[in-house]
Amino acid sequence: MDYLLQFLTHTQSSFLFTSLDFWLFLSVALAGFSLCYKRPQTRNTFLLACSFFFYYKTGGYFIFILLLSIVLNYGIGLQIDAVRPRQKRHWLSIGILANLLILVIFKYSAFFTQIFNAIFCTSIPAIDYFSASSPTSPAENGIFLLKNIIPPIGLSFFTFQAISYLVDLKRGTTQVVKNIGDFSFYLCFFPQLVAGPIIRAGQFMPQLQRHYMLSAKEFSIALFLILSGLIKKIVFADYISLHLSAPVFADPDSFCSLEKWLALYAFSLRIYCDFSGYTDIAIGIAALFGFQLPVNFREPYKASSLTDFWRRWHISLSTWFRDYLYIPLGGNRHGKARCCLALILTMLAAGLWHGAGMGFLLWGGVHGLLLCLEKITGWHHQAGKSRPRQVLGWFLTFNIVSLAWILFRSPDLHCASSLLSGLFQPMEWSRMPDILQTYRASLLLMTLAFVFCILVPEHTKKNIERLFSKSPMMVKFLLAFATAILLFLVQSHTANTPFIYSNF
Amino acid sequence: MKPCKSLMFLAGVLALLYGFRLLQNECGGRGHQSLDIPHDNIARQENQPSLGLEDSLIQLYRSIYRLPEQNPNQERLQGIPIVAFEYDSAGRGSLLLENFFIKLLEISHPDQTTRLQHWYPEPFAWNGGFSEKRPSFSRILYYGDASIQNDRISGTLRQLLQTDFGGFGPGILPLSSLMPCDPKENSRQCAIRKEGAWQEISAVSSMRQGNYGILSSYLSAPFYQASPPSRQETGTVRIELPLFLQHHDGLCLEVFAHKDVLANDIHVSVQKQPSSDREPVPAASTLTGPGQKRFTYALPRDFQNISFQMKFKRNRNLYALALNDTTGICVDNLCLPESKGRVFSVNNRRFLTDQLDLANAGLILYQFGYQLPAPIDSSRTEEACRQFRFQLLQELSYIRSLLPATPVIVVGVSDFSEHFGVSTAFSGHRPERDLSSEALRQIQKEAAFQTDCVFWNPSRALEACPPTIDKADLTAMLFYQALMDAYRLFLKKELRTMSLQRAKSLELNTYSRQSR
Repeated sequence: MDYLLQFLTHTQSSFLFTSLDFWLFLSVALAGFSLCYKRPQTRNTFLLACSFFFYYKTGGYFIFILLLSIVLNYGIGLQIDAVRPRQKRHWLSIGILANLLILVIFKYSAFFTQIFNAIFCTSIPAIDYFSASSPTSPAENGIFLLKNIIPPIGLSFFTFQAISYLVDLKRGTTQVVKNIGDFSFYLCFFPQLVAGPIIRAGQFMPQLQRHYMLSAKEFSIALFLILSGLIKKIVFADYISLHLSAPVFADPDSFCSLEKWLALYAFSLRIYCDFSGYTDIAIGIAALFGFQLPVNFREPYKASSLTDFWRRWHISLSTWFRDYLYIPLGGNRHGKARCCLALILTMLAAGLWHGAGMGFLLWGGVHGLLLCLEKITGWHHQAGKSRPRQVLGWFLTFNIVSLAWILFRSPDLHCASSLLSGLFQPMEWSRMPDILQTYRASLLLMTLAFVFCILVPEHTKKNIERLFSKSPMMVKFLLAFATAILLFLVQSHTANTPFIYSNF
Repeated sequence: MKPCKSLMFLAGVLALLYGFRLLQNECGGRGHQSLDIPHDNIARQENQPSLGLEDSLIQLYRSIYRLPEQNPNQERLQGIPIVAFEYDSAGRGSLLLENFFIKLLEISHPDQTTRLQHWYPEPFAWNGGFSEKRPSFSRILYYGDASIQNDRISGTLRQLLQTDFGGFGPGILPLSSLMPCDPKENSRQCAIRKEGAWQEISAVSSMRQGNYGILSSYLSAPFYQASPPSRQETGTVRIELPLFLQHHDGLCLEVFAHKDVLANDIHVSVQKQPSSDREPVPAASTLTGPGQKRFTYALPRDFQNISFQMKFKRNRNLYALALNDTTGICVDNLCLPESKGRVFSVNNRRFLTDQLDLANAGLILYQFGYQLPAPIDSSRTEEACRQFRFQLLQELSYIRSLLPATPVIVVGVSDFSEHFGVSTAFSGHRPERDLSSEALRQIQKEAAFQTDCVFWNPSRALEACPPTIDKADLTAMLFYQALMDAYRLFLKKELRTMSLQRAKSLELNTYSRQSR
């Protein structure tokens, strides 16, 4: 009974894809779904209720922010559809401002207040009254301090999704959603609610009216995605993080340069496995309910240029910024100077989207500058022209992206500079045997992750997927069970680490 | 494919996984109970037979306090009163000794407004080991990050324990750098001043630099930082012994040096009179470890000073000297250089590998007190705790792998950093206020139990006072009391197993500490 009560209420313990509680919830959701899947409307309503419960379990009282966002965007969407073309832009502006205001209040108020205080030598506190009243948010002596502000989970994702809906509505590339239930479902379908992918209304809404369809092959692919996603997250990402990258990033001075380089590559692999793992699980779970989510990663570390990298990494976000910021700013249609400006602004915004911190801003800025450089030199066209260039391009891109991750990952700029400077100190090769001994498990996992996630060609992965889907159900079941055991055993050593992108 | 098939698939996997977990818990629980220790709260009273526990304690004390049969201090072991206490087990074969009643010493508390009451739950959690080594004397190794505090704590502890169980000597002398600070004066002096027992020791340094070391000495490992001599040269260390040690029989000198140092590189000689010739002392034994060597020299009786000379060659370094009696107890420091107490890096691993093996510790006290984990902002506190747990487990597991049977006592962190919002690890530029010392102590305790170590929590008695000499003395005395009370338990068991005749021959007197 206690467990049931605990399960039904929001607690501090995580409700991630990697927690057993989530899979129990999914079982219940599937059970209810199997009773109502034949009627699209009933099905959608039931899944909406599941999504609300999921968000409540994950974010607690922040569900009210989600509800506010739903009502606001639904209402503005109706207005945009109803008014004359001239007024559509005004309502769109209101909608975008309202969404950004929510984002700024909950995610950036502390950051902007800090900057303001730093520039004008003031000491204005950023008090989040909403969070202070939430029983699950930490406060100190009744005052919610700057550093304790926690943004609602998935805020960045559903906000951007809502903005994309309003903009597409105004542009006429999507139909207005007149049913608030359908709109709510679009905005908060639980597999993609917390960390994407960001779906366009035009892609998702038609699926709401379709009848449920899941072939055996699609089920197999969904299962394969879920299992591979969990392995990527728990076996690779969490283990590598706990044993190698996180300690070094937290305290770089205690480690030698060789360890820093290893931690750098470890983090690159970790963030990829973590995020792509999450996406795979999200796509797989959505498919079980008969919904298709867009692919979010296309082997990004095989990119031979930064431009190519951003076409492969977090595709839903990069296309969002391309369609709703970069192109409206002029894109590449007004000369290189304007293009570079648009690129830098877009990447700065992308950096800021990831987090309210100087590190994220600098990370975005670095990518923006390097993308500009590529635009000017035309490297992104040259990189794929021959095999040696491709290899060189791949090597450079991977290392540049990895180095940029330092700004992204470090808890502060001091740590980042310490890590960065430490990388270029003389290598202590004499410590190699100790390092190999100390990190042997992590290095093995890194190697495996590197091979399977990066080196193995796409067609090989497709073949493995095909092989899996053709295998008998019993084989699939046994593989799923074996994977579950493996994950359970590994997780006992790593504990339940949140997905990186669920923090954004 | 219908959704119910997906549901059945998922439910099937979850059901099997649940069954696996149940099976694992059942098997794992049995496997951890390697010691026959009860798990119930057991109230004990004086003169009643104990129920199950003592095997681990007996083993622990056999390894710590094993004394030669001819130990002149044997009679001091008698007459220790048996006090009532309660204890509980913590599961996993571990014991918690709760509600200690410790005979109060007249301890002056730094905070004059409070008075220590010494009722603190869980002061000790035992899961003792049994050392298969049989050292000639028992070394308690205090392993931590704060050398000043460790000096003071270990020094006070050494005084108290050596008074009870014998043993003489300052233990390990620090040699943080043997590069001559004054090129004209190619030697260093080590003056040991007597004040009561060993109270002030000047470590090896130039006279001009003054003395270092508050109460005792510590073993430092400079091999990561110190630059070896760039040229061949000979360094001389002369140790002037105080009067009361000059006529002591049974002293030995241990030399901890780089593994490439040869016996011929070292010359030890003694001088019986200021005007007499120096008599060379040959090395009695040489032990080689992964990164160090330990040379042992049995010193003769009746000498006034020891001269230690070593030829320094490239990459051959001297780490420490140790002066001890061949029997009794010694408490020494193993200070991890530049440690923040929360990262177990390759450097740390190498340090432990090199140091622990040759230090020959019968008991290890593990304390990283004031340098807490990085106080990342509150959204990452969980991650900080996770990291701390992982690093601590790594370190304790590694110590356990190096010394599988040596008891290790993990000392709980103090509330100092949390209370004062500072961190000695980060020079205050990262406020520590988000961290909970209690959470860290819980992590320490869990990690200790997981690695067959013991946990001691003096934080309630120490409160959140800054690290001071007084506080260090207090810690040492509390620790001494805790050790002695557990030792009384051991004695009680021993008495019970003795024959009646032998038991009658003992005089059980009230044990008084005020007279010491």
